[in-house]
Amino acid sequence: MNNNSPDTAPDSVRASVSDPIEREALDAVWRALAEAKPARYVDADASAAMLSVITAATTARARRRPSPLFGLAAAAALVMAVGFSARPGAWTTVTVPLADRAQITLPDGSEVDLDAGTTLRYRQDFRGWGWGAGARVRTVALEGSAFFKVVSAAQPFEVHSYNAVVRVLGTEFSVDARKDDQAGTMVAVAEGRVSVRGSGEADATVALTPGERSVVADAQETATAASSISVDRVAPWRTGGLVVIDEPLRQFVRAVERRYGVSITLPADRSVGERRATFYYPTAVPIERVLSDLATTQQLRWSRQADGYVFE
Amino acid sequence: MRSTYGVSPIHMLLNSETPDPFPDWTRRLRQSDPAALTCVFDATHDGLVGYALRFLRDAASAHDIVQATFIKLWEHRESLDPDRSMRGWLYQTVRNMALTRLRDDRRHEASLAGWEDPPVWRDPGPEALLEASELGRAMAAWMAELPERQREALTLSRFEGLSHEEIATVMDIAPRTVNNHLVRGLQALRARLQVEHKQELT
Repeated sequence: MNNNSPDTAPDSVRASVSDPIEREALDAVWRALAEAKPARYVDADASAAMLSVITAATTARARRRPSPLFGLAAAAALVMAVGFSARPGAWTTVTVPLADRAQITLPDGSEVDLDAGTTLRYRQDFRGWGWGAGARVRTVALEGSAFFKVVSAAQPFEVHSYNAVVRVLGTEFSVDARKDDQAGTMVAVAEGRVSVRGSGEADATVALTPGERSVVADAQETATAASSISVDRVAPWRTGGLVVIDEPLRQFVRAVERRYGVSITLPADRSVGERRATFYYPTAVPIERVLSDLATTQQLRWSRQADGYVFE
Repeated sequence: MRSTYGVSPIHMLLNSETPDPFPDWTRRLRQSDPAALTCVFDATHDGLVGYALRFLRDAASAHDIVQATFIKLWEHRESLDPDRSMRGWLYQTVRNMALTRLRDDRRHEASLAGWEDPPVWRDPGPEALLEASELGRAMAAWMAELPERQREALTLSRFEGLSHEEIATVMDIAPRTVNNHLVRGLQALRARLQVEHKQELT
Protein backbone atom coordinates (compact mmCIF):
# COMPACT_ATOMS: atom_id res chain seq x y z
CA MET A 1 0.00 0.00 0.00
CA ASN A 2 2.97 2.24 0.58
CA ASN A 3 4.52 3.01 -2.78
CA ASN A 4 7.76 4.19 -1.26
CA SER A 5 10.56 2.28 0.39
CA PRO A 6 11.53 3.30 3.92
CA ASP A 7 15.21 2.79 3.09
CA THR A 8 15.82 4.78 -0.08
CA ALA A 9 14.34 7.89 -1.64
CA PRO A 10 11.85 7.28 -4.49
CA ASP A 11 13.48 6.19 -7.76
CA SER A 12 12.77 9.35 -9.70
CA VAL A 13 14.28 11.45 -6.89
CA ARG A 14 17.43 9.31 -6.97
CA ALA A 15 17.50 9.42 -10.76
CA SER A 16 17.63 13.21 -10.79
CA VAL A 17 20.85 13.26 -8.76
CA SER A 18 23.92 12.19 -10.71
CA ASP A 19 26.53 12.27 -7.92
CA PRO A 20 26.41 8.91 -6.09
CA ILE A 21 27.58 10.48 -2.80
CA GLU A 22 24.82 13.05 -3.03
CA ARG A 23 22.34 10.29 -3.83
CA GLU A 24 23.51 8.39 -0.76
CA ALA A 25 23.09 11.55 1.34
CA LEU A 26 19.51 12.03 0.15
CA ASP A 27 18.75 8.41 1.04
CA ALA A 28 20.10 9.10 4.52
CA VAL A 29 17.84 12.14 4.86
CA TRP A 30 14.93 10.06 3.60
CA ARG A 31 15.62 7.42 6.29
CA ALA A 32 16.08 10.04 9.02
CA LEU A 33 12.71 11.56 8.11
CA ALA A 34 11.09 8.46 9.58
CA GLU A 35 11.93 9.95 12.96
CA ALA A 36 10.03 13.12 12.12
CA LYS A 37 6.82 11.36 11.20
CA PRO A 38 4.11 12.99 13.29
CA ALA A 39 2.04 10.76 15.54
CA ARG A 40 -1.15 9.81 13.79
CA TYR A 41 -4.19 11.70 14.82
CA VAL A 42 -6.29 8.70 15.79
CA ASP A 43 -9.59 9.30 17.50
CA ALA A 44 -10.93 5.76 17.21
CA ASP A 45 -14.08 6.93 18.90
CA ALA A 46 -14.82 9.49 16.22
CA SER A 47 -13.74 7.20 13.41
CA ALA A 48 -16.04 4.40 14.57
CA ALA A 49 -18.95 6.81 14.71
CA MET A 50 -17.97 8.11 11.29
CA LEU A 51 -17.95 4.69 9.69
CA SER A 52 -21.37 3.89 11.12
CA VAL A 53 -22.71 7.14 9.68
CA ILE A 54 -21.13 6.41 6.30
CA THR A 55 -22.45 2.85 6.35
CA ALA A 56 -25.94 4.02 7.24
CA ALA A 57 -25.87 6.68 4.53
CA THR A 58 -24.54 4.34 1.88
CA THR A 59 -26.81 1.39 2.65
CA ALA A 60 -29.86 3.66 2.52
CA ARG A 61 -28.69 5.02 -0.82
CA ALA A 62 -27.78 1.61 -2.12
CA ARG A 63 -31.33 0.46 -1.59
CA ARG A 64 -32.80 3.36 -3.45
CA ARG A 65 -30.62 2.67 -6.45
CA PRO A 66 -30.07 -1.04 -6.16
CA SER A 67 -27.41 -2.77 -8.13
CA PRO A 68 -27.91 -6.47 -8.89
CA LEU A 69 -25.15 -7.46 -6.49
CA PHE A 70 -26.34 -5.43 -3.56
CA GLY A 71 -29.95 -6.49 -3.95
CA LEU A 72 -28.89 -10.09 -3.81
CA ALA A 73 -26.82 -9.55 -0.70
CA ALA A 74 -29.57 -7.67 1.09
CA ALA A 75 -32.17 -10.30 0.28
CA ALA A 76 -30.00 -13.18 1.36
CA ALA A 77 -28.83 -11.77 4.66
CA LEU A 78 -31.01 -10.68 7.52
CA VAL A 79 -27.96 -9.22 9.16
CA MET A 80 -24.74 -8.43 7.41
CA ALA A 81 -21.94 -8.98 9.86
CA VAL A 82 -18.61 -7.97 8.44
CA GLY A 83 -15.60 -9.40 10.22
CA PHE A 84 -12.57 -7.95 8.54
CA SER A 85 -9.90 -10.25 9.88
CA ALA A 86 -8.88 -12.18 12.93
CA ARG A 87 -6.95 -9.24 14.39
CA PRO A 88 -8.16 -8.75 17.97
CA GLY A 89 -8.48 -5.02 17.38
CA ALA A 90 -10.43 -5.46 14.13
CA TRP A 91 -13.98 -4.20 13.96
CA THR A 92 -17.13 -6.20 13.66
CA THR A 93 -19.94 -4.30 11.97
CA VAL A 94 -23.55 -5.42 12.14
CA THR A 95 -25.97 -3.69 9.78
CA VAL A 96 -29.69 -4.44 9.80
CA PRO A 97 -31.36 -3.85 6.41
CA LEU A 98 -34.54 -1.80 6.14
CA ALA A 99 -37.83 -3.49 7.02
CA ASP A 100 -35.99 -5.94 9.30
CA ARG A 101 -35.05 -6.41 12.92
CA ALA A 102 -32.27 -8.44 14.46
CA GLN A 103 -31.06 -9.76 17.78
CA ILE A 104 -27.39 -10.35 18.45
CA THR A 105 -25.26 -11.47 21.39
CA LEU A 106 -22.11 -9.51 22.12
CA PRO A 107 -18.82 -11.18 23.14
CA ASP A 108 -19.53 -10.53 26.85
CA GLY A 109 -22.94 -12.25 26.61
CA SER A 110 -24.96 -9.01 26.56
CA GLU A 111 -27.93 -9.08 24.20
CA VAL A 112 -28.89 -6.36 21.77
CA ASP A 113 -32.08 -5.92 19.74
CA LEU A 114 -31.49 -3.82 16.63
CA ASP A 115 -34.18 -1.97 14.71
CA ALA A 116 -34.36 -1.63 10.90
CA GLY A 117 -31.61 0.42 9.29
CA THR A 118 -29.31 0.26 12.31
CA THR A 119 -25.55 -0.24 12.41
CA LEU A 120 -23.64 -1.44 15.46
CA ARG A 121 -19.85 -1.70 15.60
CA TYR A 122 -17.51 -3.16 18.19
CA ARG A 123 -13.96 -4.44 18.39
CA GLN A 124 -13.53 -8.18 18.13
CA ASP A 125 -11.67 -8.22 21.45
CA PHE A 126 -14.57 -6.13 22.82
CA ARG A 127 -12.39 -3.52 24.44
CA GLY A 128 -12.44 0.22 24.27
CA TRP A 129 -10.09 2.27 22.14
CA GLY A 130 -6.70 3.54 23.17
CA TRP A 131 -4.72 2.46 26.18
CA GLY A 132 -5.16 2.83 29.93
CA ALA A 133 -8.54 2.94 31.62
CA GLY A 134 -10.41 3.59 28.36
CA ALA A 135 -9.30 0.26 26.91
CA ARG A 136 -10.99 -1.71 29.67
CA VAL A 137 -14.45 -0.41 28.82
CA ARG A 138 -16.77 -2.67 26.84
CA THR A 139 -17.52 -0.35 23.95
CA VAL A 140 -19.93 -0.30 21.01
CA ALA A 141 -20.68 2.42 18.45
CA LEU A 142 -24.32 2.83 17.40
CA GLU A 143 -26.10 4.53 14.51
CA GLY A 144 -29.82 3.79 14.73
CA SER A 145 -32.05 2.25 17.39
CA ALA A 146 -31.08 -0.50 19.80
CA PHE A 147 -32.26 -2.07 23.05
CA PHE A 148 -29.48 -3.41 25.29
CA LYS A 149 -29.61 -6.08 27.98
CA VAL A 150 -26.15 -5.67 29.44
CA VAL A 151 -24.76 -8.39 31.70
CA SER A 152 -23.13 -7.10 34.86
CA ALA A 153 -19.34 -7.08 34.88
CA ALA A 154 -16.54 -5.15 36.54
CA GLN A 155 -15.82 -3.33 33.26
CA PRO A 156 -18.26 -0.55 32.41
CA PHE A 157 -20.25 -0.83 29.18
CA GLU A 158 -20.44 2.20 26.89
CA VAL A 159 -22.60 3.02 23.87
CA HIS A 160 -21.15 5.77 21.70
CA SER A 161 -23.53 7.57 19.34
CA TYR A 162 -22.59 10.39 16.99
CA ASN A 163 -23.09 12.94 19.74
CA ALA A 164 -23.45 11.14 23.08
CA VAL A 165 -22.00 8.50 25.37
CA VAL A 166 -24.16 6.18 27.50
CA ARG A 167 -22.40 4.37 30.33
CA VAL A 168 -23.70 1.48 32.46
CA LEU A 169 -22.52 -1.49 34.47
CA GLY A 170 -25.38 -3.94 33.89
CA THR A 171 -28.93 -2.97 32.97
CA GLU A 172 -31.64 -2.74 30.27
CA PHE A 173 -32.06 0.39 28.21
CA SER A 174 -32.66 1.69 24.70
CA VAL A 175 -30.67 4.16 22.62
CA ASP A 176 -31.95 5.94 19.49
CA ALA A 177 -29.44 7.99 17.53
CA ARG A 178 -29.63 8.84 13.85
CA LYS A 179 -27.40 11.61 12.64
CA ASP A 180 -29.22 11.95 9.30
CA ASP A 181 -32.48 12.69 11.09
CA GLN A 182 -30.83 15.29 13.33
CA ALA A 183 -32.92 13.83 16.11
CA GLY A 184 -30.11 13.72 18.66
CA THR A 185 -29.62 10.75 20.94
CA MET A 186 -32.50 9.49 23.08
CA VAL A 187 -31.85 7.14 25.98
CA ALA A 188 -34.62 5.39 27.92
CA VAL A 189 -34.13 3.00 30.83
CA ALA A 190 -36.14 -0.15 31.56
CA GLU A 191 -34.04 -1.52 34.42
CA GLY A 192 -30.99 -0.52 36.48
CA ARG A 193 -29.02 2.73 36.29
CA VAL A 194 -27.58 4.51 33.28
CA SER A 195 -25.54 7.67 32.86
CA VAL A 196 -25.71 9.85 29.75
CA ARG A 197 -23.47 12.64 28.54
CA GLY A 198 -22.77 14.57 25.35
CA SER A 199 -19.67 13.30 23.49
CA GLY A 200 -17.63 16.37 24.34
CA GLU A 201 -18.87 16.78 27.91
CA ALA A 202 -16.88 14.46 30.13
CA ASP A 203 -18.25 15.89 33.37
CA ALA A 204 -21.88 16.84 32.72
CA THR A 205 -23.55 13.45 33.06
CA VAL A 206 -27.24 12.82 33.72
CA ALA A 207 -28.19 9.73 35.76
CA LEU A 208 -31.34 7.81 34.75
CA THR A 209 -33.34 5.18 36.64
CA PRO A 210 -36.10 2.88 35.27
CA GLY A 211 -38.93 4.76 33.58
CA GLU A 212 -36.77 7.79 32.83
CA ARG A 213 -35.38 9.17 29.58
CA SER A 214 -32.98 11.88 28.48
CA VAL A 215 -32.09 13.44 25.13
CA VAL A 216 -28.79 14.85 23.85
CA ALA A 217 -30.17 17.12 21.14
CA ASP A 218 -28.40 17.34 17.79
CA ALA A 219 -27.17 20.88 18.29
CA GLN A 220 -26.80 20.80 22.06
CA GLU A 221 -23.98 19.06 23.77
CA THR A 222 -25.37 18.19 27.19
CA ALA A 223 -28.05 15.68 28.12
CA THR A 224 -31.45 17.00 29.21
CA ALA A 225 -32.64 16.39 32.76
CA ALA A 226 -34.41 13.07 33.25
CA SER A 227 -38.08 12.98 32.24
CA SER A 228 -40.47 10.09 32.73
CA ILE A 229 -41.41 7.48 30.15
CA SER A 230 -43.58 4.42 30.60
CA VAL A 231 -41.33 1.35 30.80
CA ASP A 232 -43.47 -0.50 28.22
CA ARG A 233 -42.80 2.31 25.76
CA VAL A 234 -39.04 1.75 25.82
CA ALA A 235 -38.00 0.47 22.36
CA PRO A 236 -41.58 -0.47 21.28
CA TRP A 237 -40.21 -1.59 17.89
CA ARG A 238 -39.05 -4.80 19.56
CA THR A 239 -42.64 -6.03 19.44
CA GLY A 240 -43.38 -4.49 16.07
CA GLY A 241 -44.65 -1.26 17.61
CA LEU A 242 -44.01 2.23 16.34
CA VAL A 243 -43.87 5.22 18.68
CA VAL A 244 -42.87 8.83 18.31
CA ILE A 245 -43.45 11.34 21.06
CA ASP A 246 -43.71 14.98 20.04
CA GLU A 247 -41.19 14.81 17.23
CA PRO A 248 -41.10 16.50 13.80
CA LEU A 249 -43.20 14.71 11.19
CA ARG A 250 -40.16 14.17 8.93
CA GLN A 251 -38.61 11.99 11.65
CA PHE A 252 -41.75 9.92 11.96
CA VAL A 253 -41.85 9.50 8.18
CA ARG A 254 -38.20 8.35 8.16
CA ALA A 255 -39.05 5.81 10.88
CA VAL A 256 -41.96 4.49 8.80
CA GLU A 257 -39.70 4.26 5.72
CA ARG A 258 -37.17 2.20 7.65
CA ARG A 259 -39.78 0.01 9.28
CA TYR A 260 -41.60 -0.94 6.08
CA GLY A 261 -38.68 -0.50 3.67
CA VAL A 262 -40.61 1.97 1.50
CA SER A 263 -40.12 5.48 0.19
CA ILE A 264 -42.51 8.23 1.36
CA THR A 265 -42.70 11.73 -0.06
CA LEU A 266 -44.11 14.58 2.00
CA PRO A 267 -45.64 17.68 0.36
CA ALA A 268 -43.14 20.13 -1.13
CA ASP A 269 -44.05 22.64 1.59
CA ARG A 270 -41.23 22.02 4.04
CA SER A 271 -43.16 23.31 7.04
CA VAL A 272 -45.26 20.12 6.93
CA GLY A 273 -42.21 18.04 7.84
CA GLU A 274 -41.49 20.29 10.80
CA ARG A 275 -44.94 19.91 12.38
CA ARG A 276 -44.66 18.06 15.67
CA ALA A 277 -46.65 14.89 16.12
CA THR A 278 -47.19 11.98 18.49
CA PHE A 279 -48.06 8.48 17.24
CA TYR A 280 -48.33 5.36 19.37
CA TYR A 281 -48.75 1.85 17.97
CA PRO A 282 -47.85 -0.71 20.66
CA THR A 283 -47.85 -3.61 18.17
CA ALA A 284 -47.38 -4.11 14.42
CA VAL A 285 -49.99 -2.56 12.11
CA PRO A 286 -50.33 -2.54 8.31
CA ILE A 287 -48.61 0.42 6.67
CA GLU A 288 -51.92 1.57 5.17
CA ARG A 289 -53.25 2.23 8.66
CA VAL A 290 -50.22 4.33 9.60
CA LEU A 291 -50.50 6.35 6.38
CA SER A 292 -54.23 6.91 6.86
CA ASP A 293 -53.74 8.03 10.47
CA LEU A 294 -51.03 10.42 9.39
CA ALA A 295 -53.23 11.77 6.59
CA THR A 296 -56.22 12.22 8.90
CA THR A 297 -54.37 14.01 11.68
CA GLN A 298 -52.43 16.27 9.31
CA GLN A 299 -55.26 16.85 6.83
CA LEU A 300 -53.31 15.37 3.93
CA ARG A 301 -54.11 12.74 1.28
CA TRP A 302 -51.90 9.81 0.44
CA SER A 303 -51.63 7.71 -2.68
CA ARG A 304 -49.49 4.85 -3.86
CA GLN A 305 -47.19 5.67 -6.76
CA ALA A 306 -44.75 3.55 -8.74
CA ASP A 307 -41.79 4.55 -6.55
CA GLY A 308 -43.48 4.76 -3.17
CA TYR A 309 -46.14 6.62 -1.23
CA VAL A 310 -46.87 10.28 -1.78
CA PHE A 311 -48.65 12.75 0.50
CA GLU A 312 -50.40 15.80 -0.89
CA MET B 1 18.12 5.72 18.33
CA ARG B 2 16.09 3.04 16.66
CA SER B 3 13.29 4.03 14.35
CA THR B 4 9.97 2.42 15.15
CA TYR B 5 9.06 3.10 11.53
CA GLY B 6 11.44 0.35 10.49
CA VAL B 7 9.16 -2.32 11.95
CA SER B 8 5.84 -0.72 11.08
CA PRO B 9 3.14 -2.75 9.35
CA ILE B 10 3.76 -0.70 6.22
CA HIS B 11 7.34 -1.91 6.21
CA MET B 12 6.27 -5.52 6.62
CA LEU B 13 3.78 -5.11 3.82
CA LEU B 14 6.54 -3.88 1.57
CA ASN B 15 8.80 -6.77 2.40
CA SER B 16 6.14 -9.40 1.98
CA GLU B 17 5.29 -7.89 -1.40
CA THR B 18 1.58 -7.97 -0.75
CA PRO B 19 -0.16 -6.85 -3.91
CA ASP B 20 -1.74 -3.40 -3.77
CA PRO B 21 -5.36 -4.08 -2.73
CA PHE B 22 -6.70 -0.77 -4.06
CA PRO B 23 -7.42 -1.90 -7.66
CA ASP B 24 -9.50 -4.79 -6.30
CA TRP B 25 -11.37 -2.45 -3.94
CA THR B 26 -12.03 -0.07 -6.85
CA ARG B 27 -13.48 -2.96 -8.87
CA ARG B 28 -15.70 -4.09 -5.98
CA LEU B 29 -16.86 -0.54 -5.27
CA ARG B 30 -17.89 -0.16 -8.89
CA GLN B 31 -20.11 -3.19 -8.29
CA SER B 32 -21.63 -1.47 -5.23
CA ASP B 33 -20.06 -3.82 -2.69
CA PRO B 34 -20.45 -2.02 0.65
CA ALA B 35 -17.77 -4.17 2.33
CA ALA B 36 -15.19 -2.72 -0.06
CA LEU B 37 -16.00 0.74 1.23
CA THR B 38 -15.27 -0.43 4.78
CA CYS B 39 -11.92 -1.87 3.64
CA VAL B 40 -10.95 1.41 1.99
CA PHE B 41 -12.10 3.29 5.08
CA ASP B 42 -10.00 1.17 7.44
CA ALA B 43 -6.94 1.50 5.20
CA THR B 44 -7.05 5.25 4.60
CA HIS B 45 -9.11 6.94 7.29
CA ASP B 46 -6.31 7.82 9.73
CA GLY B 47 -4.07 9.21 7.02
CA LEU B 48 -6.86 11.30 5.51
CA VAL B 49 -7.84 12.82 8.85
CA GLY B 50 -4.20 13.63 9.56
CA TYR B 51 -3.89 15.22 6.11
CA ALA B 52 -7.09 17.27 6.57
CA LEU B 53 -5.73 18.51 9.90
CA ARG B 54 -2.78 20.02 8.03
CA PHE B 55 -5.23 22.52 6.56
CA LEU B 56 -7.89 22.91 9.21
CA ARG B 57 -7.73 24.07 12.75
CA ASP B 58 -10.19 21.77 14.43
CA ALA B 59 -10.60 18.03 14.47
CA ALA B 60 -14.37 18.25 14.01
CA SER B 61 -14.05 19.94 10.61
CA ALA B 62 -11.37 17.45 9.57
CA HIS B 63 -13.67 14.56 10.49
CA ASP B 64 -16.62 16.17 8.69
CA ILE B 65 -14.61 16.47 5.52
CA VAL B 66 -13.26 12.93 5.59
CA GLN B 67 -16.76 11.60 6.23
CA ALA B 68 -18.17 13.62 3.32
CA THR B 69 -15.34 12.32 1.14
CA PHE B 70 -16.26 8.68 1.78
CA ILE B 71 -19.94 9.34 1.12
CA LYS B 72 -18.92 11.08 -2.11
CA LEU B 73 -16.75 8.07 -2.99
CA TRP B 74 -19.79 5.83 -2.61
CA GLU B 75 -21.98 8.12 -4.68
CA HIS B 76 -19.38 8.22 -7.44
CA ARG B 77 -18.55 4.52 -7.24
CA GLU B 78 -19.97 3.69 -10.64
CA SER B 79 -17.84 6.31 -12.38
CA LEU B 80 -14.57 5.35 -10.66
CA ASP B 81 -11.76 4.90 -13.17
CA PRO B 82 -10.10 1.51 -12.52
CA ASP B 83 -6.88 2.78 -14.12
CA ARG B 84 -6.53 5.72 -11.76
CA SER B 85 -5.53 5.63 -8.12
CA MET B 86 -8.50 5.71 -5.76
CA ARG B 87 -6.17 6.74 -2.96
CA GLY B 88 -5.04 9.74 -5.00
CA TRP B 89 -8.70 10.62 -5.55
CA LEU B 90 -9.41 10.44 -1.80
CA TYR B 91 -6.50 12.71 -0.85
CA GLN B 92 -7.39 15.11 -3.66
CA THR B 93 -11.03 15.32 -2.57
CA VAL B 94 -10.08 15.88 1.07
CA ARG B 95 -7.66 18.59 0.00
CA ASN B 96 -10.22 20.39 -2.19
CA MET B 97 -12.90 20.25 0.49
CA ALA B 98 -10.46 21.43 3.17
CA LEU B 99 -9.32 24.38 1.06
CA THR B 100 -12.93 25.32 0.29
CA ARG B 101 -13.81 25.12 3.98
CA LEU B 102 -10.77 27.23 4.83
CA ARG B 103 -11.74 29.87 2.27
CA ASP B 104 -15.29 30.02 3.61
CA ASP B 105 -14.07 30.32 7.20
CA ARG B 106 -11.68 33.08 6.23
CA ARG B 107 -14.30 34.98 4.29
CA HIS B 108 -16.41 34.82 7.40
CA GLU B 109 -13.59 35.94 9.67
CA ALA B 110 -12.47 38.63 7.23
CA SER B 111 -15.93 40.11 7.37
CA LEU B 112 -15.53 40.42 11.13
CA ALA B 113 -12.02 41.86 11.19
CA GLY B 114 -9.09 42.65 8.93
CA TRP B 115 -7.57 39.29 8.14
CA GLU B 116 -4.09 38.67 6.92
CA ASP B 117 -3.77 35.52 4.90
CA PRO B 118 -1.81 33.04 6.98
CA PRO B 119 -0.19 30.07 5.23
CA VAL B 120 -2.57 27.30 4.25
CA TRP B 121 -0.35 24.41 5.28
CA ARG B 122 0.02 23.85 9.02
CA ASP B 123 2.64 21.70 10.62
CA PRO B 124 1.76 19.22 13.32
CA GLY B 125 1.95 20.72 16.80
CA PRO B 126 4.60 19.70 19.32
CA GLU B 127 2.22 17.17 20.88
CA ALA B 128 2.41 15.10 17.67
CA LEU B 129 6.14 14.69 18.21
CA LEU B 130 6.20 13.97 21.93
CA GLU B 131 7.50 10.51 21.28
CA ALA B 132 9.91 11.52 18.55
CA SER B 133 13.66 11.35 19.00
CA GLU B 134 15.85 14.41 19.19
CA LEU B 135 16.75 13.94 15.53
CA GLY B 136 13.07 13.58 14.69
CA ARG B 137 12.17 16.84 16.37
CA ALA B 138 15.04 18.63 14.64
CA MET B 139 14.00 17.21 11.26
CA ALA B 140 10.40 18.29 11.87
CA ALA B 141 11.56 21.80 12.77
CA TRP B 142 13.64 22.02 9.59
CA MET B 143 10.77 20.69 7.54
CA ALA B 144 8.63 23.50 8.93
CA GLU B 145 11.06 25.99 7.37
CA LEU B 146 10.72 24.55 3.86
CA PRO B 147 8.40 26.23 1.33
CA GLU B 148 4.78 25.10 1.70
CA ARG B 149 4.64 23.01 -1.51
CA GLN B 150 7.85 21.14 -0.70
CA ARG B 151 6.58 20.30 2.77
CA GLU B 152 3.28 19.04 1.42
CA ALA B 153 4.92 16.90 -1.27
CA LEU B 154 7.39 15.46 1.25
CA THR B 155 4.64 14.68 3.74
CA LEU B 156 2.54 12.89 1.13
CA SER B 157 5.51 10.95 -0.19
CA ARG B 158 7.36 10.09 3.01
CA PHE B 159 4.59 9.87 5.61
CA GLU B 160 1.52 8.93 3.56
CA GLY B 161 3.35 6.70 1.08
CA LEU B 162 1.80 8.21 -2.05
CA SER B 163 3.45 7.74 -5.45
CA HIS B 164 4.57 10.68 -7.57
CA GLU B 165 1.53 10.24 -9.81
CA GLU B 166 -0.82 10.25 -6.83
CA ILE B 167 0.78 13.34 -5.35
CA ALA B 168 0.52 15.05 -8.75
CA THR B 169 -3.22 14.32 -8.77
CA VAL B 170 -3.67 15.51 -5.22
CA MET B 171 -1.70 18.75 -5.54
CA ASP B 172 -2.84 19.34 -9.12
CA ILE B 173 0.70 19.71 -10.49
CA ALA B 174 2.84 17.69 -12.94
CA PRO B 175 4.66 14.59 -11.64
CA ARG B 176 7.88 16.31 -12.74
CA THR B 177 7.12 19.22 -10.44
CA VAL B 178 6.41 16.79 -7.61
CA ASN B 179 9.86 15.34 -8.15
CA ASN B 180 11.44 18.82 -8.12
CA HIS B 181 9.72 19.64 -4.83
CA LEU B 182 10.94 16.38 -3.30
CA VAL B 183 14.54 16.77 -4.51
CA ARG B 184 14.77 20.38 -3.35
CA GLY B 185 13.17 19.60 -0.01
CA LEU B 186 15.49 16.67 0.66
CA GLN B 187 18.53 18.72 -0.41
CA ALA B 188 17.59 21.55 1.95
CA LEU B 189 17.15 19.09 4.82
CA ARG B 190 20.49 17.46 4.00
CA ALA B 191 22.19 20.88 4.16
CA ARG B 192 20.71 21.48 7.62
CA LEU B 193 21.76 18.04 8.78
CA GLN B 194 25.34 18.64 7.63
CA VAL B 195 25.60 22.04 9.34
CA GLU B 196 24.33 20.50 12.53
CA HIS B 197 26.80 17.64 12.31
CA LYS B 198 29.75 20.02 11.86
CA GLN B 199 28.66 22.00 14.90
CA GLU B 200 28.58 18.83 16.92
CA LEU B 201 32.10 17.95 15.81
CA THR B 202 33.71 21.29 16.64
